[in-house]
Amino acid sequence: MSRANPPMRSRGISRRVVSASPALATALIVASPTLAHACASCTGGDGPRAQAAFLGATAFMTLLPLGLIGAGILWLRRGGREWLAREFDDRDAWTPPEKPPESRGTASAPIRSVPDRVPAAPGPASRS
Amino acid sequence: MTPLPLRRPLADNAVLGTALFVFTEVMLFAGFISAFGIVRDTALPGAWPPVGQPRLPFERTMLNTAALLASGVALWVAGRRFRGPSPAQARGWTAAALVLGAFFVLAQGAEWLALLRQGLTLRSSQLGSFFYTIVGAHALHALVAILFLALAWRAMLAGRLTAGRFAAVRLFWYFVVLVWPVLYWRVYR
Repeated sequence: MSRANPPMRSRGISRRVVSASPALATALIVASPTLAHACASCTGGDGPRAQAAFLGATAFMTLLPLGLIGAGILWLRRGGREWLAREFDDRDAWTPPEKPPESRGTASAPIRSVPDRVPAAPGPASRS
Repeated sequence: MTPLPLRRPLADNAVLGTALFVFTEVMLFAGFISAFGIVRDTALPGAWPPVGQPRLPFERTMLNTAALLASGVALWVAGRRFRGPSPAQARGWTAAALVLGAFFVLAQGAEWLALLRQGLTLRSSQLGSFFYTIVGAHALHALVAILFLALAWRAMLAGRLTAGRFAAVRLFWYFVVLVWPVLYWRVYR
Protein backbone atom coordinates (compact mmCIF):
# COMPACT_ATOMS: atom_id res chain seq x y z
CA MET A 1 0.00 0.00 0.00
CA SER A 2 1.71 3.20 -1.23
CA ARG A 3 1.08 6.61 0.26
CA ALA A 4 1.09 8.24 -3.18
CA ASN A 5 -1.92 6.27 -4.34
CA PRO A 6 -3.87 5.04 -1.34
CA PRO A 7 -6.76 2.67 -1.93
CA MET A 8 -10.15 4.28 -2.31
CA ARG A 9 -11.43 2.82 0.92
CA SER A 10 -8.84 4.70 2.89
CA ARG A 11 -10.03 7.97 1.31
CA GLY A 12 -13.52 7.48 2.66
CA ILE A 13 -15.00 6.57 -0.74
CA SER A 14 -16.21 3.05 -1.09
CA ARG A 15 -15.56 1.43 -4.45
CA ARG A 16 -19.12 0.24 -4.46
CA VAL A 17 -20.45 3.77 -4.10
CA VAL A 18 -18.29 5.03 -6.94
CA SER A 19 -19.33 2.27 -9.31
CA ALA A 20 -22.96 2.62 -8.36
CA SER A 21 -23.05 6.40 -8.80
CA PRO A 22 -24.29 6.38 -12.42
CA ALA A 23 -27.06 3.98 -11.52
CA LEU A 24 -28.02 6.06 -8.50
CA ALA A 25 -28.09 9.24 -10.55
CA THR A 26 -30.24 7.61 -13.22
CA ALA A 27 -32.65 6.26 -10.62
CA LEU A 28 -32.93 9.70 -9.04
CA ILE A 29 -33.68 11.34 -12.36
CA VAL A 30 -36.26 8.75 -13.32
CA ALA A 31 -37.93 8.82 -9.94
CA SER A 32 -38.06 12.59 -9.74
CA PRO A 33 -39.00 13.86 -13.21
CA THR A 34 -39.91 17.30 -11.99
CA LEU A 35 -36.42 17.77 -10.62
CA ALA A 36 -34.90 16.76 -13.97
CA HIS A 37 -36.91 19.22 -16.07
CA ALA A 38 -34.42 21.98 -16.72
CA CYS A 39 -35.79 23.14 -20.07
CA ALA A 40 -38.04 26.18 -19.77
CA SER A 41 -39.74 25.35 -23.03
CA CYS A 42 -40.53 21.77 -22.07
CA THR A 43 -41.95 22.74 -18.71
CA GLY A 44 -43.45 26.02 -19.87
CA GLY A 45 -46.92 27.16 -19.05
CA ASP A 46 -48.47 26.27 -22.42
CA GLY A 47 -50.07 23.16 -21.05
CA PRO A 48 -49.73 19.43 -21.46
CA ARG A 49 -50.11 19.61 -25.26
CA ALA A 50 -46.99 21.73 -25.57
CA GLN A 51 -45.06 19.51 -23.19
CA ALA A 52 -46.11 16.45 -25.15
CA ALA A 53 -45.02 18.10 -28.39
CA PHE A 54 -41.58 18.96 -27.02
CA LEU A 55 -41.05 15.58 -25.45
CA GLY A 56 -42.24 13.82 -28.60
CA ALA A 57 -39.91 15.83 -30.77
CA THR A 58 -37.01 15.19 -28.41
CA ALA A 59 -37.68 11.48 -28.38
CA PHE A 60 -38.02 11.43 -32.15
CA MET A 61 -34.76 13.30 -32.77
CA THR A 62 -32.95 11.13 -30.25
CA LEU A 63 -34.20 7.75 -31.40
CA LEU A 64 -34.11 8.37 -35.15
CA PRO A 65 -30.30 8.40 -35.61
CA LEU A 66 -29.88 5.53 -33.19
CA GLY A 67 -32.52 3.58 -35.05
CA LEU A 68 -30.95 4.27 -38.42
CA ILE A 69 -27.49 3.23 -37.26
CA GLY A 70 -28.85 0.17 -35.49
CA ALA A 71 -30.88 -0.84 -38.53
CA GLY A 72 -27.82 -0.45 -40.71
CA ILE A 73 -25.69 -2.60 -38.44
CA LEU A 74 -28.45 -5.20 -38.18
CA TRP A 75 -28.81 -5.31 -41.95
CA LEU A 76 -25.08 -5.77 -42.42
CA ARG A 77 -24.98 -8.60 -39.92
CA ARG A 78 -27.98 -10.35 -41.46
CA GLY A 79 -26.82 -10.66 -45.02
CA GLY A 80 -26.15 -7.10 -46.03
CA ARG A 81 -22.49 -7.83 -46.62
CA GLU A 82 -23.34 -10.70 -48.96
CA TRP A 83 -25.86 -8.56 -50.81
CA LEU A 84 -23.29 -5.81 -51.28
CA ALA A 85 -20.72 -8.33 -52.48
CA ARG A 86 -23.20 -9.76 -55.01
CA GLU A 87 -24.41 -6.35 -56.09
CA PHE A 88 -20.95 -5.05 -56.83
CA ASP A 89 -19.19 -8.05 -58.30
CA ASP A 90 -17.80 -5.85 -61.00
CA ARG A 91 -17.22 -2.83 -58.81
CA ASP A 92 -14.76 -0.37 -60.21
CA ALA A 93 -13.76 1.04 -56.83
CA TRP A 94 -11.39 -1.84 -56.08
CA THR A 95 -8.77 -3.10 -58.47
CA PRO A 96 -6.46 -5.90 -57.34
CA PRO A 97 -2.75 -5.31 -57.97
CA GLU A 98 -1.45 -7.11 -61.05
CA LYS A 99 1.69 -8.33 -59.31
CA PRO A 100 3.14 -7.93 -55.87
CA PRO A 101 5.41 -4.90 -55.50
CA GLU A 102 9.12 -5.75 -55.59
CA SER A 103 11.15 -5.01 -52.49
CA ARG A 104 13.69 -2.28 -53.27
CA GLY A 105 14.80 -1.39 -49.79
CA THR A 106 13.34 0.43 -46.83
CA ALA A 107 12.16 3.54 -48.68
CA SER A 108 10.03 1.70 -51.17
CA ALA A 109 8.96 -1.16 -48.95
CA PRO A 110 5.20 -1.80 -49.08
CA ILE A 111 3.32 -0.39 -46.14
CA ARG A 112 1.03 -3.36 -45.60
CA SER A 113 3.46 -6.19 -45.13
CA VAL A 114 4.82 -8.56 -42.53
CA PRO A 115 8.47 -9.48 -42.14
CA ASP A 116 9.46 -12.87 -43.42
CA ARG A 117 10.68 -15.39 -40.92
CA VAL A 118 14.40 -15.25 -40.37
CA PRO A 119 15.85 -18.24 -42.20
CA ALA A 120 17.38 -20.81 -39.94
CA ALA A 121 21.14 -21.09 -39.91
CA PRO A 122 22.38 -23.92 -42.16
CA GLY A 123 23.11 -27.12 -40.31
CA PRO A 124 26.42 -28.96 -40.39
CA ALA A 125 25.13 -31.35 -43.13
CA SER A 126 24.71 -28.53 -45.63
CA ARG A 127 28.33 -27.42 -45.28
CA SER A 128 30.48 -28.83 -47.96
CA MET B 1 8.59 -8.76 -47.08
CA THR B 2 5.36 -10.57 -47.91
CA PRO B 3 2.55 -8.18 -48.84
CA LEU B 4 -0.73 -8.75 -47.07
CA PRO B 5 -3.80 -9.26 -49.26
CA LEU B 6 -5.66 -6.01 -49.76
CA ARG B 7 -9.07 -5.87 -48.12
CA ARG B 8 -11.97 -5.42 -50.43
CA PRO B 9 -14.15 -2.44 -49.50
CA LEU B 10 -17.56 -3.24 -48.06
CA ALA B 11 -19.44 -1.18 -50.62
CA ASP B 12 -18.76 0.93 -53.64
CA ASN B 13 -17.32 4.30 -52.71
CA ALA B 14 -20.17 6.13 -54.43
CA VAL B 15 -22.76 4.10 -52.54
CA LEU B 16 -21.05 4.60 -49.19
CA GLY B 17 -20.70 8.32 -49.73
CA THR B 18 -24.32 8.63 -50.82
CA ALA B 19 -25.49 6.62 -47.83
CA LEU B 20 -23.64 8.92 -45.43
CA PHE B 21 -25.08 11.97 -47.17
CA VAL B 22 -28.59 10.53 -47.08
CA PHE B 23 -28.20 9.92 -43.35
CA THR B 24 -27.39 13.58 -42.74
CA GLU B 25 -30.26 14.74 -44.93
CA VAL B 26 -32.68 12.47 -43.09
CA MET B 27 -31.68 14.22 -39.89
CA LEU B 28 -32.13 17.59 -41.58
CA PHE B 29 -35.70 16.79 -42.53
CA ALA B 30 -36.31 15.25 -39.13
CA GLY B 31 -35.35 18.58 -37.59
CA PHE B 32 -37.68 20.43 -39.93
CA ILE B 33 -40.57 18.11 -39.13
CA SER B 34 -39.95 18.29 -35.40
CA ALA B 35 -39.87 22.07 -35.38
CA PHE B 36 -43.03 22.23 -37.50
CA GLY B 37 -44.79 19.79 -35.21
CA ILE B 38 -43.91 21.78 -32.13
CA VAL B 39 -45.08 25.07 -33.62
CA ARG B 40 -48.34 23.52 -34.77
CA ASP B 41 -49.05 21.69 -31.53
CA THR B 42 -48.21 24.63 -29.30
CA ALA B 43 -50.46 27.02 -31.21
CA LEU B 44 -53.46 28.31 -29.33
CA PRO B 45 -56.78 26.60 -30.09
CA GLY B 46 -58.24 28.10 -33.26
CA ALA B 47 -54.97 29.75 -34.21
CA TRP B 48 -53.81 26.95 -36.51
CA PRO B 49 -53.89 27.10 -39.44
CA PRO B 50 -53.22 30.84 -39.30
CA VAL B 51 -56.19 33.02 -40.04
CA GLY B 52 -56.36 34.40 -43.56
CA GLN B 53 -54.01 31.82 -45.04
CA PRO B 54 -55.11 29.43 -47.81
CA ARG B 55 -55.60 25.79 -46.99
CA LEU B 56 -52.90 23.52 -48.35
CA PRO B 57 -54.11 21.36 -51.29
CA PHE B 58 -53.97 18.00 -49.59
CA GLU B 59 -56.17 16.18 -52.10
CA ARG B 60 -54.60 17.67 -55.21
CA THR B 61 -51.10 16.82 -54.00
CA MET B 62 -52.09 13.16 -53.82
CA LEU B 63 -51.57 12.95 -57.58
CA ASN B 64 -48.08 14.42 -57.29
CA THR B 65 -47.30 12.01 -54.48
CA ALA B 66 -48.52 9.06 -56.53
CA ALA B 67 -46.32 10.14 -59.43
CA LEU B 68 -43.26 10.35 -57.21
CA LEU B 69 -43.94 6.95 -55.66
CA ALA B 70 -44.41 5.49 -59.14
CA SER B 71 -41.02 6.91 -60.15
CA GLY B 72 -39.47 5.08 -57.21
CA VAL B 73 -41.04 1.83 -58.34
CA ALA B 74 -39.90 2.41 -61.92
CA LEU B 75 -36.34 3.03 -60.79
CA TRP B 76 -36.40 -0.07 -58.65
CA VAL B 77 -37.41 -2.13 -61.66
CA ALA B 78 -34.68 -0.40 -63.65
CA GLY B 79 -32.16 -1.47 -61.03
CA ARG B 80 -33.27 -5.07 -61.28
CA ARG B 81 -33.09 -5.01 -65.09
CA PHE B 82 -29.66 -3.38 -65.00
CA ARG B 83 -28.24 -6.28 -63.03
CA GLY B 84 -30.02 -8.83 -65.17
CA PRO B 85 -28.90 -10.55 -68.39
CA SER B 86 -30.12 -7.65 -70.53
CA PRO B 87 -29.13 -4.32 -68.98
CA ALA B 88 -30.55 -2.42 -71.94
CA GLN B 89 -34.02 -3.09 -70.56
CA ALA B 90 -33.24 -0.67 -67.77
CA ARG B 91 -33.19 2.31 -70.12
CA GLY B 92 -36.93 2.56 -70.53
CA TRP B 93 -37.64 2.18 -66.84
CA THR B 94 -35.03 4.77 -65.97
CA ALA B 95 -36.54 7.17 -68.46
CA ALA B 96 -39.96 6.54 -66.93
CA ALA B 97 -38.61 7.35 -63.49
CA LEU B 98 -37.11 10.55 -64.88
CA VAL B 99 -40.37 11.63 -66.47
CA LEU B 100 -42.42 10.90 -63.37
CA GLY B 101 -39.94 12.73 -61.16
CA ALA B 102 -39.94 15.72 -63.45
CA PHE B 103 -43.75 15.70 -63.42
CA PHE B 104 -43.69 15.80 -59.62
CA VAL B 105 -41.36 18.78 -59.52
CA LEU B 106 -43.31 20.68 -62.16
CA ALA B 107 -46.64 19.95 -60.47
CA GLN B 108 -45.27 21.13 -57.16
CA GLY B 109 -44.04 24.28 -58.83
CA ALA B 110 -47.49 24.95 -60.25
CA GLU B 111 -48.94 24.38 -56.81
CA TRP B 112 -46.53 26.89 -55.33
CA LEU B 113 -47.57 29.52 -57.86
CA ALA B 114 -51.21 28.99 -56.97
CA LEU B 115 -50.48 29.30 -53.25
CA LEU B 116 -48.42 32.43 -53.77
CA ARG B 117 -51.32 34.01 -55.66
CA GLN B 118 -53.62 33.10 -52.77
CA GLY B 119 -51.39 34.89 -50.27
CA LEU B 120 -49.28 32.12 -48.73
CA THR B 121 -45.72 33.40 -48.85
CA LEU B 122 -42.50 32.77 -46.96
CA ARG B 123 -43.23 35.70 -44.65
CA SER B 124 -47.00 35.68 -44.50
CA SER B 125 -47.22 33.31 -41.52
CA GLN B 126 -45.47 30.50 -39.70
CA LEU B 127 -47.32 28.07 -41.96
CA GLY B 128 -45.90 29.77 -45.02
CA SER B 129 -42.38 29.84 -43.58
CA PHE B 130 -42.40 26.18 -42.72
CA PHE B 131 -44.18 25.12 -45.90
CA TYR B 132 -41.76 26.76 -48.28
CA THR B 133 -38.71 25.80 -46.21
CA ILE B 134 -39.63 22.13 -45.89
CA VAL B 135 -41.17 21.57 -49.29
CA GLY B 136 -38.57 23.79 -50.90
CA ALA B 137 -35.73 21.78 -49.38
CA HIS B 138 -37.33 18.62 -50.70
CA ALA B 139 -37.80 20.17 -54.13
CA LEU B 140 -34.12 21.11 -54.18
CA HIS B 141 -33.16 17.54 -53.38
CA ALA B 142 -35.55 16.30 -56.05
CA LEU B 143 -33.99 18.60 -58.65
CA VAL B 144 -30.50 17.36 -57.83
CA ALA B 145 -31.72 13.76 -57.93
CA ILE B 146 -33.26 14.37 -61.36
CA LEU B 147 -30.00 15.83 -62.59
CA PHE B 148 -27.98 12.86 -61.33
CA LEU B 149 -30.48 10.41 -62.76
CA ALA B 150 -30.40 12.15 -66.12
CA LEU B 151 -26.60 11.97 -66.19
CA ALA B 152 -26.74 8.29 -65.23
CA TRP B 153 -29.30 7.64 -67.95
CA ARG B 154 -27.06 9.30 -70.50
CA ALA B 155 -24.13 7.17 -69.36
CA MET B 156 -26.38 4.12 -69.56
CA LEU B 157 -27.25 4.90 -73.15
CA ALA B 158 -23.54 5.19 -73.93
CA GLY B 159 -22.76 1.94 -72.16
CA ARG B 160 -20.54 3.65 -69.60
CA LEU B 161 -22.68 3.35 -66.50
CA THR B 162 -21.20 1.24 -63.72
CA ALA B 163 -23.21 -0.69 -61.15
CA GLY B 164 -21.81 1.34 -58.29
CA ARG B 165 -22.66 4.67 -59.81
CA PHE B 166 -26.18 3.58 -60.72
CA ALA B 167 -26.69 2.21 -57.22
CA ALA B 168 -25.64 5.52 -55.69
CA VAL B 169 -28.03 7.45 -57.92
CA ARG B 170 -30.84 5.04 -57.10
CA LEU B 171 -30.14 5.32 -53.38
CA PHE B 172 -30.46 9.08 -53.49
CA TRP B 173 -33.65 8.81 -55.55
CA TYR B 174 -35.16 6.38 -53.04
CA PHE B 175 -34.40 8.85 -50.27
CA VAL B 176 -36.19 11.66 -52.15
CA VAL B 177 -39.16 9.39 -52.84
CA LEU B 178 -39.51 7.90 -49.37
CA VAL B 179 -39.09 11.11 -47.39
CA TRP B 180 -41.85 12.85 -49.34
CA PRO B 181 -44.84 10.90 -47.91
CA VAL B 182 -43.67 11.79 -44.40
CA LEU B 183 -43.42 15.47 -45.29
CA TYR B 184 -46.72 15.34 -47.15
CA TRP B 185 -48.55 13.78 -44.25
CA ARG B 186 -47.08 16.09 -41.60
CA VAL B 187 -47.21 19.36 -43.49
CA TYR B 188 -50.25 19.17 -45.73
CA ARG B 189 -52.64 17.46 -43.37
